[in-house]
Amino acid sequence: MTNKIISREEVEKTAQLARLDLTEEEKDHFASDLNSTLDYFKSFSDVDGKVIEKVSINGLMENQLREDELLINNQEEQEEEKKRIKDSFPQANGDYLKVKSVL
Amino acid sequence: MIKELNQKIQSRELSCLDLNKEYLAIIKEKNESLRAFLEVYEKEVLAQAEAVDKKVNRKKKIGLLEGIPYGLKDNVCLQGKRTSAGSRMLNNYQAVYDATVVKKLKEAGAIVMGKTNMDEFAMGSSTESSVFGPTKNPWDESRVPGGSSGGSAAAVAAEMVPWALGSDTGGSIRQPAGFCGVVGFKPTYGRVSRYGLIAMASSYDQIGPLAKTVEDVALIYQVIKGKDVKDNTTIEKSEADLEDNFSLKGKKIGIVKEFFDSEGLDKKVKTTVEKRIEFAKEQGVEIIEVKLDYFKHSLAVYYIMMTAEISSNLARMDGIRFGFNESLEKDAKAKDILDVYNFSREMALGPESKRRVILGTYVLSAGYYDAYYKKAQKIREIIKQEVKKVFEQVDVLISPTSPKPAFKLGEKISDPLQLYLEDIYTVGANVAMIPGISIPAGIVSEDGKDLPVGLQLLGRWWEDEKLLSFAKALEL
Repeated sequence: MTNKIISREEVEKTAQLARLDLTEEEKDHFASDLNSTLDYFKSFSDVDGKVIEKVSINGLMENQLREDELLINNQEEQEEEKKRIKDSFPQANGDYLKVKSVL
Repeated sequence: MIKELNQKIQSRELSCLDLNKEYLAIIKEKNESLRAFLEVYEKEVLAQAEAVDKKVNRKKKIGLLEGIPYGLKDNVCLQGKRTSAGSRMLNNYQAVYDATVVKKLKEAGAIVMGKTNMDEFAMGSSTESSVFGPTKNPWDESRVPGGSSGGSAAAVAAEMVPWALGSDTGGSIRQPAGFCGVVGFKPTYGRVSRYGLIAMASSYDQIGPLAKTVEDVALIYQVIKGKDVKDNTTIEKSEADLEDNFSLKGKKIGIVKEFFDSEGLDKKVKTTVEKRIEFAKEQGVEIIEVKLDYFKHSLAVYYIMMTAEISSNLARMDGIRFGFNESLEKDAKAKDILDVYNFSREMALGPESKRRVILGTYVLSAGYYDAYYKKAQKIREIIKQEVKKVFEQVDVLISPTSPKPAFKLGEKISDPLQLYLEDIYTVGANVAMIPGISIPAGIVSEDGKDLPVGLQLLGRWWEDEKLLSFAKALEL
């Protein structure tokens, strides 16, 4: 039996933060699954994480900057891409994305 | 194999159309039971194949991959085609652009045969979390093909296509390659652009090829690698080409003792891999036992950071701009936008996605962030340091790809932690961002059926070609 690290209520709260509406059954399930996984994570709680320098690996994780500019310069291509994106809107009103009331 | 096919097409010994028809026939015969492909673009395939034949008939030279079909994992965008990532959430989603890898392969003339099955959003090691149902292992259909690129691995193993693309976040190319007896390669993080790959855990994700031989995998890698302005983790970095006269003599291969002493390691898998190590010794390789004290924490580091990154990446799956939207369904309950988020995600995300989104949200939440996410990030750095030191002693590391051969369908579905342990040998490469490859090591018998065993080699940062040379030399 693993220790209880996360309670059913915490699962509920976390799911709310994650914008997930869970069924009662799912809440029970996830509480138990997450507890066994979090228990496994404890394996490194005794690791001393103090001495940290970023490892320099030639080229890896270096900042790469570029100008913030359009990569497609062709007007026609731009329009086509725009149309494809609009076509995948679940609901649209002309050029606008339509959503349910926000407030 | 690809080279031979190319020569046959070029010399007109075999028409490109016939070649593609042959593969289509195999798909028709086997896909119903294996479910490796979710969609096959027969018409487009045949039209493209005919065009290649016309080119050959005009005595034009064709490229190595030209006219050769491949399977594309369903989390890689192919413009105008459904790109579902194995999820109900994107069941109706048509990609609005081509991924960079797809674009490069189009330019090389390769033909997309269709989209291959996968675990939902690439979360899983068995392809059982696909909303379209599991893929089966061609070696034994009562077993899983591994995952998450299980459709790609099964398609190559069943000879439905000569090669396929997959993605690897914690072993999702290498583990299924091992389970299906094919070669699967995850390049160094930053070698291949992920633009157009549906993101799972961005600091771990990498695209790579699966094929029958190391040579094929190397050929494909040459085409898909390189800097892409659309993925700023990619950089231009030259490397030595695959060596033709590469010799194992005098090379140093490291083994991590804990990997071989692990309780969870199947005896037959262990023996099979050890035989290959013996073979390497006979070729003049020096085997060096190395110590990796922190490497064992890779799995915990991975599961914390990966779920954190998933919770963030999957936030866009909310039914607003694309994908499943509950308010458009029959008997919709959503009254406002918050309901649309909550209900769409509840209905369209599968259990594994939900589990990881919640876990990821939890480890990032105030009060737990330091204990989990921040700590994991630190240990990731320690692991990188440790790996760097080890590679000062050895050229590559060798291990089994997975602790056991392919397991039965349904065997681990109810125990997520057990399923997570599948990744124990593979995640280290993603944590340390180094390249890794799985090659067939041999065959074991399980319940009277032959099952392949995979051997994994890990290499230094950016030395992908060198790793491929080792893999080629150790190929069965």
